[in-house]
Amino acid sequence: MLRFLASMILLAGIAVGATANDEPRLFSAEDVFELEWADEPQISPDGEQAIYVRRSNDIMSDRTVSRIWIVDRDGGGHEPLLAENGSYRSPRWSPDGTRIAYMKSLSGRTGLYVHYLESGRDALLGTFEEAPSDLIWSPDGAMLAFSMAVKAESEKLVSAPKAPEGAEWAEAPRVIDRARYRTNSDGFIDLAYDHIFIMPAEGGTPRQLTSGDFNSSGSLSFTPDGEQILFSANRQDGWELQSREANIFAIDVASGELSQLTDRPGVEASPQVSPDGRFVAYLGTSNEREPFMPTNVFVMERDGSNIRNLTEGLDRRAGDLQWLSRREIAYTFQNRGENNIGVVTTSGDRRVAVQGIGGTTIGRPYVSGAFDAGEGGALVYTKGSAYRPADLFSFQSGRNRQLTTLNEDLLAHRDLGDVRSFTYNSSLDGLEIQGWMITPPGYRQGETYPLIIEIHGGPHLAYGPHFSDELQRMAAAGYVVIYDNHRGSIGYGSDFANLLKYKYSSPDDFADHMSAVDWAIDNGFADEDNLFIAGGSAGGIATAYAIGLTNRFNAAMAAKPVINWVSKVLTADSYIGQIANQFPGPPWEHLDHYWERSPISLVGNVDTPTMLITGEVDYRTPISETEQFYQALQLRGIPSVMVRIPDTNHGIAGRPSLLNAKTDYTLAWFGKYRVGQEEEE
Amino acid sequence: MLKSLFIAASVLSLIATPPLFAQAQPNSAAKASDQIGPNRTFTGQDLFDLAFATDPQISPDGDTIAYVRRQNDIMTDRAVNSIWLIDVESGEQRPFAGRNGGAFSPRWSPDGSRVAYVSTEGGSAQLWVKWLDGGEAVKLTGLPNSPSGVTWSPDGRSIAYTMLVKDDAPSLGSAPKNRPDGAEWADALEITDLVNFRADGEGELTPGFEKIFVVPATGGAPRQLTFGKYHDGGRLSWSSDGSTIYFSANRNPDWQTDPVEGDVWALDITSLSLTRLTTRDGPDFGAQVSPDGRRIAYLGFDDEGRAYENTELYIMDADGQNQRILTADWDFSVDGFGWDSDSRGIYVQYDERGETNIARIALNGSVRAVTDGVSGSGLDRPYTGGSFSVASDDTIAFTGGTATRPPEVKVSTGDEARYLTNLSASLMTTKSLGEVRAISVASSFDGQEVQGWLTLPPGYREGARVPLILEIHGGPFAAYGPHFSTDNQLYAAAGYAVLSANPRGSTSYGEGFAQEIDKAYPSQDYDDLMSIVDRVVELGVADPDRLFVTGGSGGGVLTSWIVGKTNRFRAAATQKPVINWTTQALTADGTGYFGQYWVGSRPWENPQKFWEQSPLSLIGSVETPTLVVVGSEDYRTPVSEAVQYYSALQLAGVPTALVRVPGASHALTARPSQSAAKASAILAWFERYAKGWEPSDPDADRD
Repeated sequence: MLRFLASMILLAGIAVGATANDEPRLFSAEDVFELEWADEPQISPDGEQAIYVRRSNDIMSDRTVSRIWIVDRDGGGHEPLLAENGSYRSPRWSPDGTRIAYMKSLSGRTGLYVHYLESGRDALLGTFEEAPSDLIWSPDGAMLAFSMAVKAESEKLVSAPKAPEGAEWAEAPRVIDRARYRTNSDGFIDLAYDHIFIMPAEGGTPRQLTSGDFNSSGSLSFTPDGEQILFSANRQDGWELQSREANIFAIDVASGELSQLTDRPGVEASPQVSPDGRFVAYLGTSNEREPFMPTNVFVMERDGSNIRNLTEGLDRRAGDLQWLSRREIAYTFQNRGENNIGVVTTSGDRRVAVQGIGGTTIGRPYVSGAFDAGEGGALVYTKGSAYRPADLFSFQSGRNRQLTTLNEDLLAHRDLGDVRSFTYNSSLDGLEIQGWMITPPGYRQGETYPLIIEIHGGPHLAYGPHFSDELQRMAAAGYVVIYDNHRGSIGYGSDFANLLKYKYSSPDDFADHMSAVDWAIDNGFADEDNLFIAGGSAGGIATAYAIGLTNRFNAAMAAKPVINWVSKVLTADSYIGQIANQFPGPPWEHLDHYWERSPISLVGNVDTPTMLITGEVDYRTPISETEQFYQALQLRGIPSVMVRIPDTNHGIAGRPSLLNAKTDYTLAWFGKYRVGQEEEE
Repeated sequence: MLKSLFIAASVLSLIATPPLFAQAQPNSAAKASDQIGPNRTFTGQDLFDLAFATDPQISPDGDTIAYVRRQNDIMTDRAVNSIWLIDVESGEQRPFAGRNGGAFSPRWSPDGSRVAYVSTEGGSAQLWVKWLDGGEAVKLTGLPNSPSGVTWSPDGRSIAYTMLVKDDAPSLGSAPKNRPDGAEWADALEITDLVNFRADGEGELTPGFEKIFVVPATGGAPRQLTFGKYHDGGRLSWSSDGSTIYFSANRNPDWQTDPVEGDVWALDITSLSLTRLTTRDGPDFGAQVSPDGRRIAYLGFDDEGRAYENTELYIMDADGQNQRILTADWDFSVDGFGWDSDSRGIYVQYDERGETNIARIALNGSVRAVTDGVSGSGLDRPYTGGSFSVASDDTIAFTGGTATRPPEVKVSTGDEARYLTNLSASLMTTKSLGEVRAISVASSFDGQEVQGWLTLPPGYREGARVPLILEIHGGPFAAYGPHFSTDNQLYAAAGYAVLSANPRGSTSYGEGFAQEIDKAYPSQDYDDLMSIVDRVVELGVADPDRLFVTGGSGGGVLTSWIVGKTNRFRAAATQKPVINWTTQALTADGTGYFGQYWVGSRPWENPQKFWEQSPLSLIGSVETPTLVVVGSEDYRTPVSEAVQYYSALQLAGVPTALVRVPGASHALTARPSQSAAKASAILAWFERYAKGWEPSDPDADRD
C-alpha cells in the first residue's frame, strides 16, 4: 500500500513536471517561438569557414526569420554575419572567398546584395519586383547570374472603358487563358516566364540571356572559362501540358546563342559542369507514367556526348548534385527515413559519405536536410536528431564535427517523448513496414496510453526519426504517437513506392496504418479504446479514407485532404502531372476509378467525429475539397468542425502561431472524444 | 423562394433587401468632348445612366406612392437607392429620402401620416421614420445589424422588424499565453460547425439567428420578442388587435438539414408564447392577416422532394383552423400577394408565358385578371418579376416596363394601367434599341410548344441573316419574357440577334412543364433549345454558320451541356455554371438542397446519377471554343465549378479562357463596370472564333 502510494507520487512528479520548478519541463506551444535551426550551408572556397542561414521564430512578427551566420571549420568564431532587419537567403561565396552575394527581402521587395568580408560593407546591386533565384558567381568573380520571372502580356480580350477621374470602380475582370495558371504559393499567377540574367558583381544593369515563352530556370552552372551557362528547361511546343520533360541547354554569355545538349525523353535537370570543364553531371528521370520514378546521376561530355548513368541500381531519387572533386560527384538520396550524402565517381563507384543529414523541417518528422561541397572533398551539412532541429556539421578528412548547438538553451530543459523505430508486417500481404513511436514524457512501461497515428503527406514522401514540433506536443499531451512509412513512401525503392500505383487512397495503405496501430496495441503501448487518427495532405486523404473503412478511431483530424479526385485534379495547381502520372487517364474517361480512390465515396460509412483544417487559399488541395467532406458529414449528422485558416495556402503551419494552432485544435478535438481521461489541472 | 435559388441573387434581393449601400452622388455621365452628336448605339457606358423603379408602396388612401429608385452611379460603380414619392393624381414626383446614403423599404403607417424606411445615412442600415406633413426624419434605432421585414402595428404605435442576433462562434483549444503586447500574429483560425456556413452574396455567415423585435414608432428601446436557435424571419403581419405577430420559421430540430420547410407561427407579444399554426411537410410562409382580422392568407406547397412546385395560396382562420387552398385549380405560382381591403379577395402577382400579371383571387377560388405588364427583376437579363402594393380603394401600384423600357412605376385603378414615371426618358429618345419579337416552336422531342423572344440588332433589315446568340436563362426554374435586358441590348448593338427562350423546366407554363426536368436536368431542355434555334434559322434571321451560345447559372449548365452535345455553335461562353453535380451538392450554399431535390440522392449514394447529369461527363466531346466566366466570390455555383471546367478544357485542348470577376458573387453584374466588361468579354470571345478554329497541334489526341 505504501509502495503504491509512493509510486503514485512519483508519477505525479513526472507527469506534472514543473509545478514546483520555475520552468515547465513539458514541451509546449510557447516553446515554438524559441526553436531555431540551420539551413542553406555554404563552405568557403578555402574550406576554412562556413556560412549558413539561421532560422528562428520571431514572436513579434509571428514569422520565421532568416539571418546569415558564419563559423570556423572547428566550430569557433560563431557569429552573426548578416543579421539586420529583413529576411536573408541564398548566400553564395565569391570564388576568391572575399565576398558573399545574397538576397534580402524587406517589406515585400527583394534586393540582391554583395557583402565585402574585409570591410564588412554591403553593396545593393538591385531591387527586383520578382525575386531572383538560382544565384551563382562566374568563375572569375566578375559576374553574377540568376533567374527571374519576366512578365509577359496575355492577348487582351477587351479594352475597358475609362473611369472618370476620382471614380471608384470595381476591379476589372481577370482573364486567364493558360493551362498553368495558378500555384499553391502564389494563387492565380500573372503570365510570366523565368529567364536567365547576368550582371556585373560590382553593380550595373542586368542583361537577359534567354527569351521565349518558356521557363528557363533551375540550377545554373558556368563553364570554367565563364563563356557559357548550362541550365535545364522544357522548350518544346506544348510544354505546358507536359509534366516530365526537360533538356539541358547551354547559352553563350557573350552572344546569347543557345545550344541543346540533351534530347532524351524525360527530365534532364540540374546540370553541373565538372571543375575541369570536361564533364557535365546532371540528374535524369525517365518519363514513364509511374507515380514514382527514380532519379539517377548521369554524366556526359561537355558537348553532350557519351551519356552514362552513374547510379544504375541505386533505385532512389538522387538530388542536390554537386561536384566534390574533378572526378567525384556528391548528391543526396533518401533511405529508410534518412537523407544521406552519397558520392559517385565518374567511373560509377558509389559510397555514402554522410548518413542522416536533415533537421530543416520542424513541424513534422519529414526527411530533409541540405549540404554544400567544397574543394578538396570537404562538406558542410545540416543535421538534427529525433530530439533536435538542425545544427550545422562539417565533414572533413573523414571526420564529422558538430559546429553549432542552436537549441540546447531550450530543449536541454525539456522532457521530450522518446522516439523509437520499429518494423512490422502489414496485414494485407505481410510486407515489412518501418514505423516510429513517440512515447509520452514520463512514459511507464506496462501502462497503455491513448494513441494518435499521424500519416505523412505525398504520399510519395517519407517520415523518419527527426524532430517534430507537432508530434512532440501530442506526446506532451499524454499520447503515444506513431507514424509509419507505409507502402508508397520513398526511401525503400521503386517497387515499394509504386505499390500505390492507381491505389491512393485504398484498403492497401489503410492496412499498413491499421497494422501499425495493432502493433502498438499488441505490444502494450496503446489503449485500444482511445485511438485517434490524423494526417495532412495525402495524410489527410488517408485519414478521411480510413474513417470510411473503420469505426475504430474515437476521432479524426484530416488537414488539407483530397476528398474527391475528380474535382481535385481539375482545380489544383498540380493537375497536369497528377492526371498523367497517378491516374489511368482523365476523370471523364475513368470516373469509377477516380471515385473509388476518393474518400467521398465512403462518407456514407463514417461514424467518426472529424475535424478538418485547411488554408483558405490552398491551391494544392483546394478548400473546396474540405468543404465537400464537411458538408457531407454535416448532412449525415456526424460531429464535425471545419477550421479555416485565413490567407493561408497548403503550408498551413507556415507561421509559428499557426503551427501552434494546428496542434492546439487537434488536441482539443481529440480531447473531446478521449474516454476515461482524468480532469486535467 | 427556393425554386429561385439558382437565379441571380440580385433578382431576389432587389425586392426585399438591396444588398448594396452606397453614398448617393449626382449623376455625371461621362461625355467624350470629341463627340459631335448623340451616339445612337447602346454601349457599356450607357449602363451608368440607367435607373429603374422597385418596391412601389401605395399609401392606404391610394393617393400617394412611395417607391425605391435604383440609379447606377458612375463614380461609385454601384446602384444607389433613394425613395421618391409620387402623387397618383398629378403624377408629380418629389424626393423623399436617400440624399445622404441609400434609402429603401418604405412602409406607410396605417393612417398614412408617416413612412418608415431603412437608410444607411450615417453609415450602417437603420430604421427611420419620416412625417409626411413636412416633419423631420427620425432615426429610430442604433442597431448592430441591418433590420428587415419592417411592419407597422395596426395602431401605428410600434414597428416590428427582424434582425440577426449574433451568437458566439464555436471555440476549441486556446492560444499560447505568451503573446507579447504589440506582436503581429497571423489571424486566428476560423472554425465552423454549422451545416450552412456561408451564403452567396454574404460569404461566411456570422454565427447568429434572425429574431423578431419591436420598437416604439416614436423611438425608444427595441424589445426582442423571439429567442432560441432558429431563424425567425420573413414577412411579418400583426393581428388587427395588435396582440399577435405572425411570422414563418423552420423551428424543427432538423432545420439545418431540411431546406424545404417552414411553418406559420403566432407570437403573443405580451407573453411571448408561440403557437404553430401550420404543420404540413413543406414550407408555409408569407402570412398576412386580412383587414377584418378574421383570416390569414399564406403561401406554401407540399414538399414532394421535387425540384419545382408551384407556390400555392392558402387561407386559414386567425387561430389556424380551416386551412384551405385557393389555387388548387389554377396552374400558376404565386410570387406575392396583398389582401383586398374588403377581406374577400386577395391580389396576387404571378407569371404566365413569360409575362408577369396581377389577378384577384376571391376566397371562393374564382380568379379575375387585374393587370398585366408587370416587370422588374433587374436589368441585365429579361427575367420575369416585379412588385406591387394595393390601397384600400383597390388602386394598385406596380413596377412595369417593356422589352425596351426598364421598370417604371405604374398604377392601375381598374381600367388601363398608366405610367407614373419616366426614368428612362433619355435612354428611350437617344438610343436605338433592338426590337424584340415573340416566337415559338414545337419541340423536336415531343412537339410541346417552346416560347422565346428574339432581340434583333437595331436597324435590322427584314430578310438579312445575322449572327445569333442563344442566351439561356438560369434557374432553371425561372422564365424569360419581353422584359428589358442590358445584356441582350449590348449583344444586339454589336450586330447579333439574341434569342431568349423558355425550354421545359421554365416556370410560367404550368407546374407540369417545369417538372419535366425534375431529376433530369439537363435533358430534353436541350432539344427544346435546339428546336427554337432551328426556328430562328428557318425564319431567315439567324445565319446557321454564325451561331453562338451563352447563359448564366442554370444557363451555364445548359451552355456547357450543349457544347458537349453539338458542334453547331462557333463559340460559347458559360457563365457561373455547375459542371459537376457532386461537387456542387457538397460545396454550394444551401447544403442539403441540390443533391436531394435536384438529383434525388446524396452524391455518395448514387454517384453515377450525379455524373450523368454533369456537363463534365461530356468534356471529351467538346470542340467549341468556350469562355468560362465566374464571380470570384460566388458561393451558389462556386468558383471551383468553373475552374474544373476550365482545367478540363485546357487538358482536352479546346480553346478556353477563364474570366474571374473580382469581388462578384453569383450576382455577377451588380457593379455596372463589371456588367459592361462581362458583356464585352463575351462579345470579344465570339468575335475571336467567329470563323472557327483548328487545333494548333495536329497530333493532339482529340476524339
